[in-house]
Amino acid sequence: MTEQETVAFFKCLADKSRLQILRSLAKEDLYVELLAERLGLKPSTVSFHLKKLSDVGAVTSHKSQYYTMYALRREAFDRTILSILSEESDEAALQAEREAAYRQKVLDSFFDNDGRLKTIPAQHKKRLIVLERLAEAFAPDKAYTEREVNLTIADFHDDFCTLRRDLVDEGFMQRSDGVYKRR
Amino acid sequence: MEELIAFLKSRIVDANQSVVALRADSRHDEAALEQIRGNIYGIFVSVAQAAKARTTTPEELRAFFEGNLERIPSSWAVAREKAEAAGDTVRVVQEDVKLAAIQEVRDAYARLCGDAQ
Repeated sequence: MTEQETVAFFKCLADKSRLQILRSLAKEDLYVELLAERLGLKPSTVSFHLKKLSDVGAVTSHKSQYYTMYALRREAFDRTILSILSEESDEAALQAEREAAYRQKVLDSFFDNDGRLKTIPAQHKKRLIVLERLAEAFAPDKAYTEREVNLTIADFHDDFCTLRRDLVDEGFMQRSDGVYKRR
Repeated sequence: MEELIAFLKSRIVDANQSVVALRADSRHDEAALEQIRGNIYGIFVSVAQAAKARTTTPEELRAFFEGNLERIPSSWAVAREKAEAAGDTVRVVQEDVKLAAIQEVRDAYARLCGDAQ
């Protein structure tokens, strides 16, 4: 199901009459007139709802003697809400693009042309972007002494103590026995 | 014509009450169908009021109202047939609601205005 189809599916379900039709069909296959009688609706209204349910793939129909029988399309309901939420969004690429553009905007505003950090962001979200950029100055898996870490950070900003602590606190670097490593 | 207008206005009130009740009961599509029904009555209240305002004799009034009663729904039956041919049940039901409402207007007009106008 695409994101659009999922939206249409849930929109279709958000109606009490259709929910009652589905509940009846969950028990057994039924034809329009019988559904109408059970639910106290006009047959034309039931047909109206069945058409909408059919369009989103919630029900199917088949001929049985003189009647068109309607059945719940069980596979459409097999998935859990969580599994639907865990699916990749159709707009994932677009979201990533927006995020990258935002990240670049933050970097452009906090670093000068020489790559020096102008100021430490107060906003946590922006601070993480800046710290991620600083962490890239450290080679992965290489062990650094505190002095080496300070010197590296000092190339970006004079307040290397704060930034060093932030790098550790925010999980960009780990410190063990006075040795620092990029995560 | 006054009686017809009063009747149609009472039907608008009924339709609006149904709309409110159906929406409160999370039956939004059925509420939309009731809204369509109410709109049809509303159109013919306007037609009846226009008929009164724009005509001077009972014959003119009758011709004006009946002309609109004929002209306005002329496309609805065609739309219904097309929808049925296309298997568009949703549209069929919507057109049916309009056709049922216009039949009610016709019946009320015949009953309330009849030969007296």
